[in-house]
Amino acid sequence: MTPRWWVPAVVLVAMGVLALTDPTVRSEMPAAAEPLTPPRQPALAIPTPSSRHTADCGDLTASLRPHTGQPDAAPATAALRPILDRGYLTVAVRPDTPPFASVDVDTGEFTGFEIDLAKEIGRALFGADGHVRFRAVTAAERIDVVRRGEVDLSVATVTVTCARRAQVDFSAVYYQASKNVLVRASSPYRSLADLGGRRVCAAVGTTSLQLVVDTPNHPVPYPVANVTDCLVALQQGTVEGVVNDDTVLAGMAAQDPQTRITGPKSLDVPTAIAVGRDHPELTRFVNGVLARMAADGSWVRLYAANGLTQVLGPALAPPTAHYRDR
Amino acid sequence: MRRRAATPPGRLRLVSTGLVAAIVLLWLAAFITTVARQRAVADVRDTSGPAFVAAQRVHADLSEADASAAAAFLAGGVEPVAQRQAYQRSIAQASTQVLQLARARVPASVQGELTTLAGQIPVYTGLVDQARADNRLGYAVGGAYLRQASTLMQTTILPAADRLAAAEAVRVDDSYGRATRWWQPTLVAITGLAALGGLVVAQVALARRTHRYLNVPLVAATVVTAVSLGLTLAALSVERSRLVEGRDGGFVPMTVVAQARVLALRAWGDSSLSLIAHGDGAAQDDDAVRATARLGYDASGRPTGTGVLPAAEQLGGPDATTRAHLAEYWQAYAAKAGQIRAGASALGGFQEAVRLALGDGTTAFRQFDTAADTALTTSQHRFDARLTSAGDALGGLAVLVSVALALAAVGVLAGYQTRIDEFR
Repeated sequence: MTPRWWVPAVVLVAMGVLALTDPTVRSEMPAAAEPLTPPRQPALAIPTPSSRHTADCGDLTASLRPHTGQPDAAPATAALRPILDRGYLTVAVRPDTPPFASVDVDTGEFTGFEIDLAKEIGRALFGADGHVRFRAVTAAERIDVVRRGEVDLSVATVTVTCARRAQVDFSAVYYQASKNVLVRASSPYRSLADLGGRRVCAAVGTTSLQLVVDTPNHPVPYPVANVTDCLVALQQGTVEGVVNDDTVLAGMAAQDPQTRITGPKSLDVPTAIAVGRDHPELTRFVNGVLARMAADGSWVRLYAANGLTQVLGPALAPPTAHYRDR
Repeated sequence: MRRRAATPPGRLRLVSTGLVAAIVLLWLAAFITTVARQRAVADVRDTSGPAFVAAQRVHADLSEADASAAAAFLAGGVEPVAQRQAYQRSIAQASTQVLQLARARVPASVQGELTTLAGQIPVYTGLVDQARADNRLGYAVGGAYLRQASTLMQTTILPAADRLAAAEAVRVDDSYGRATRWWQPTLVAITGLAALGGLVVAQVALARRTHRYLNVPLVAATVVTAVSLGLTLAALSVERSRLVEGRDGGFVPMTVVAQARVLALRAWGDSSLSLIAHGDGAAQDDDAVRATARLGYDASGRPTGTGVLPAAEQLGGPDATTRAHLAEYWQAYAAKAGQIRAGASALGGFQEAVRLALGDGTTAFRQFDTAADTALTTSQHRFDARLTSAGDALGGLAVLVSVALALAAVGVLAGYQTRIDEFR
């Protein structure tokens, strides 16, 4: 008999040849098709309750005294030179707080009381229109963009607080607002005190969110990035109320007749323009413009022209300016 | 057994039984292999392949819808008819693909993802329409609804489509494996060679013993067995090579181009959202940079040499020409996008930037998108066609081999029976 060792050898060789020439086919997803992770979402942090001993910073609303004769005299001070050389003033505004500041849907241009205010400052500085570059910011960014010098001014319904005064300078107060609550028209709530245990919306980085956190009967804070997201949450039934300045809430109520603003008209929320702490001359200049606008009636004119009368009632007198000298 | 083997006719009977057994083994190997591969090819052709294509299409259609909704919003209160129609078409197509996925019975592990698609797409369209209604009235809250819609799309709906596509890709891979196991042809070859070898050795032995050199039924059985073996191995090899063609010329380019399209749509949508954000679009700009980087371009538009678009061009294959201009079209759009970004941040340049975005920017993007869609569809058809022809390669093989080998077995029995009868 011939040796039979070649039988398994032939079988093994045949298997090897076939395995090499016709291996099992893989069809995995190509590496290039690895999906891109979703866009990052803004962090929505709820602030800690304020300590009972809030920092005292003296006269909260006192701002730097304007130079006399300004702004009629050309502001040739060296401190304002860089802005003049640049050719435009940069102003952070909020895109979603009509009638104070919003974007016109059809033209894409900013419009509102604060926009006109900024344009008045630009006109006084440059002697002509068209020298203001607006940049939309969220509530949380309003202070930081000024502090970091990314913009000259933040005209974005900024409430003056001691904590913020440690970071930026403030102009004289141009509006006294009230903290109110926007609720659905059919709901029984009359103030924030009625909303204990309910979800209440406010934008991150606002005194409103701090107020919700600090309210004794513990409404549940619902933080959002953009203040208008609160109106969406209210319309969708996610929250029972929206806390903000009456100025901002009025703009929301105008977009939804099924809502109403509730709470006292306390007019105790000072709203001012944030300016970098290293630009005292700009603060003085802005205050000069604000004082002139209060005196010559343009403040009242802009109030009416931007439809504030319809949503906030007839214009009261512009707030009285408090000044300090340094 | 031993008693049977003791007599010459008993020995012949034993040998013939052994040969029939060898033929049956060959038949089993060929039949089971053919049927298993047919089933696997049918799985990928009728179920996992179309489901994978549908999941990818859903992703692309929904990305397209989201980007078109943003572009339409950008235009203001009255959106351009073309953008609105593009949005509606994309949503309708996506819904059709979801139905297709439901019919394909996605794996249980991603049933939840299918539910997410079916449940959240109507929520998404509701939010977009609310945004549209508010935008028409000039209400700022429209922007908030659009943001919410886009966030829902990008963080919930599209990742669900991604997971569905990934699960279907696993099924495709699994079916491909089952349709091309390396040991199946090996087994057929070994059993076939064993049967043929047995037949030859037995005939030589029989010729020596009986001195009858030609036993017609046995020779016929040998030829039929050899032909069956050859046909089976050839069919398996053809089926395998068509599947490989389907993968390299269809599946891979289709997947890569679909990814390029999705990334491009994301960057386009981001640029609209960034414009809508009026300078507060850092997050959208970052996201566009990330998508562009994956496509193969750095933030200033220079090609990095690695990425999805270079990968798509390097793929080659029969449809390479359909992908030849993708990078060029993308660069043309990217140049426009850079111009739009620069214009939007310039003083008083916003309206001009929007005009450019809705005009030349959209035209340039659509040129890329249309080319990508054509390349995608071509590769998809090739994938489909190759799968069908892979199935055709095995068509009728199981029946043919069964009949042929049954005849071979009959031939063996008949051939030996005449020899056995001679002992009587």
